Amino acid sequence: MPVMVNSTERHEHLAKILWVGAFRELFEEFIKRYEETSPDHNCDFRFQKSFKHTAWPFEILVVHISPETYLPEALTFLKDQTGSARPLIFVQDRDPSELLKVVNSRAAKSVQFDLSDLCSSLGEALESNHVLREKELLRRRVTAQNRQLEDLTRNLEEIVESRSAAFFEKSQKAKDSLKEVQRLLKFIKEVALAESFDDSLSVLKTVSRVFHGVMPPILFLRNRAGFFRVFYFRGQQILEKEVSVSDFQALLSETTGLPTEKLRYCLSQLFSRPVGPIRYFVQGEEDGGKDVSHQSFLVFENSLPEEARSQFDNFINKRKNLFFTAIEAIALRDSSRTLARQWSTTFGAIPDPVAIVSRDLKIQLSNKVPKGDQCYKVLFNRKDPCPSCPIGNYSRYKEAQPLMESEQTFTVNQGQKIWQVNSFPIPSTDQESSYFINQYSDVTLQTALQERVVQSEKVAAIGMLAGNLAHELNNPLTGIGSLAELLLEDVQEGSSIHSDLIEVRNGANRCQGIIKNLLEFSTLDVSEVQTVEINDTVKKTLLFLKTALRPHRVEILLSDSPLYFRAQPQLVQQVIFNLVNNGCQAMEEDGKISIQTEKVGSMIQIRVTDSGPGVPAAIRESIFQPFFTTKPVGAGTGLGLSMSRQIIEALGGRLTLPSSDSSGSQFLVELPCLESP
Amino acid sequence: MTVLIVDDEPLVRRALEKAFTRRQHEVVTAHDGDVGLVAWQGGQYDIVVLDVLMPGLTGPEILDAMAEKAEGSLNVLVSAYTGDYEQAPFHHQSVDSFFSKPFEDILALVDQCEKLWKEKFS
Repeated sequence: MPVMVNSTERHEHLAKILWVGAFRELFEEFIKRYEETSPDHNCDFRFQKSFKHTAWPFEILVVHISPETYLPEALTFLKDQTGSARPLIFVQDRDPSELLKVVNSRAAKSVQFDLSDLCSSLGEALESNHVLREKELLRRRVTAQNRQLEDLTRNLEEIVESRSAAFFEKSQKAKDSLKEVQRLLKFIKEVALAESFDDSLSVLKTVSRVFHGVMPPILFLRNRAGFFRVFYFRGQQILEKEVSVSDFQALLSETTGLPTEKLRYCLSQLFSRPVGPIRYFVQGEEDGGKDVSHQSFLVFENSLPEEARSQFDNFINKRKNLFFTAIEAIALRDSSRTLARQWSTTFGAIPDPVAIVSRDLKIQLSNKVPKGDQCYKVLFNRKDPCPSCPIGNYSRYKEAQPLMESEQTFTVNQGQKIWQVNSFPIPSTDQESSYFINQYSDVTLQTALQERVVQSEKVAAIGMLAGNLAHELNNPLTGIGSLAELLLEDVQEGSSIHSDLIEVRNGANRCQGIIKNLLEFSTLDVSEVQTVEINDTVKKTLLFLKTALRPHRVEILLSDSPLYFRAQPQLVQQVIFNLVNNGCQAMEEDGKISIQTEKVGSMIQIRVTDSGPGVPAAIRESIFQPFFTTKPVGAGTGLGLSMSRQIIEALGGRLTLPSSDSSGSQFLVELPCLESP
Repeated sequence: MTVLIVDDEPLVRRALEKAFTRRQHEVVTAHDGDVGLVAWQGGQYDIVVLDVLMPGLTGPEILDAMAEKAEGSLNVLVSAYTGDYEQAPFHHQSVDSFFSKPFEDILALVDQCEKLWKEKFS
């Protein structure tokens, strides 16, 4: 009831005034007087003669005590008044002391003996009544408003409470899903960090343990070759089995029933043990994909109560694809590691150095040498690129040159060695980032062998030439010698013609000898081992060395007696030829070369000494190695000494370079001497 | 005796002819294998001296061509070539002797031929 206290209302309200008394006329006079004096205050006057209780809700009570009033009744009536306003008592013509008791005890508002005073008192009473009434109204309003407030407050509280509850519930849900997401993230992280199948399976086992009654997972990993790799736990260990997809499908078809039951049967066959209730999860869509032979899948044996099953399913379904992805990543990583290892091993096993170089010739990768520096520096010890390098040359030109488009081969001479480099460009659209693969082959031996073959062929050709020459010469020689012989019979002995003819015949014979020697020396067919005499061999050999020996002083010191040994004559001739020829080549003009033969103990010793610079100590043994030469590349194959040594050693002898005090070189050939021819 | 000399080298023919003539033999010469064969087929000879390598037919080829008729004479091969690979011709069934050029002593060669002829036909 929205009631406001304002001044207009005051006047609208009719205060209820009850006059209890004997005389009505007095009552009406009172009213008249009152209305005159207080026009503002409107009142509702009522008259009651008796002092009986009334139901009328008066606000102010005026009690008229007249001489006719029966006092006890009035007093009783007053006593019964419980209204808040104290009654006004108008005493007319009676002794007030009778009432004082009552007045005091009843605490009447006022006692008046005059109507005018009564009016004023009434006015006051009305005022105070009004105030009281207003207070009461206010109070009621306040109370009502209080109640409203209380209601509102309660509503608000309820709202707050219900909203709090809702909020709390939401927050709780958010917390729960955050926790779930955190768990999932943790799972992802752990599974992504797993380095092996074992590790990732262990992670899966740990997270699925939150559910009681769930056994460790069994993983069926489908690989490309039509096999399942089956990983399963035995205690803390993880074991692996293999089963082909076709065998697996065969097992599945051995039994009938729901997929779960069929799978359970399969597992029991695979592991040769009874298998409990299972829940299985196939890689792929969340709920679908129940076909277990085309994808990888997980199986959990479990004793989950029915209520927990869907929760578990949910849990695993959220995680399964992450898990399978991680597993596949591991498998890929393993196979790529294997491939990388295979490549690295293969690359490292290539016997030739191989290097990938950038355009500035820096080594990016190699199987033999460290990367970083330039190839010509690291491999050949050079300060600048090899002259024939197709890559290096491009950086020397200012203008842009078209870069190498196809494989090129070039040769590098590095000291004693010859390298053949095959250079392959690695195609690239950006010229700056061009790379090349270089394969370096040491072709020193090959080149030397090729030269040797060429030399051999030359020698063979010369041999053939010599042979042909010899034969060509034999014919006319026959004529010369035989005719001279015949002429000798015709002329007189002692005449000058006779002696001239003898010279002609001798000359022809000498030619024969030379030709025979030449044929013997250059024959391609090595004859059988024969008994040979050394001095004879030396002399024959020297015939071929006349040109080489001409600029020098030659000293021949042959043994007094013939010395015999077993050998193929041409081979020994070749050795002696080689040694003497070397000696001559080592000397400047007017050197001295000596050839000496003697028997020492049971050996024939042949010494070839020259007055050249001698052989440096560092290479005294190396000179007998095949292909060793101090001549520049291509100018000699250096086979002479190594071959000579081989020939002599095959005959049971030795070829050495004994060190001596004097300068120059002395080569010593020793051969087993025959006691008798 | 009648001697047929087949050799492509004039000096060799001259020397052999002179040597045989000195020993009172009748000499006919031919300068290559084909001419030699014709000569041999057209005549009767006691001694036939054949060079191995010649233009036309070789010595052994001439012997093959003559077949049994070669048995009627002493057949001697001469050659400027020595060495193993030349040995094959010498084992020809009709070859009676072999001399390598240059001849050490040409007159001794003639003596040797006479001797061998006597051994073959007496």
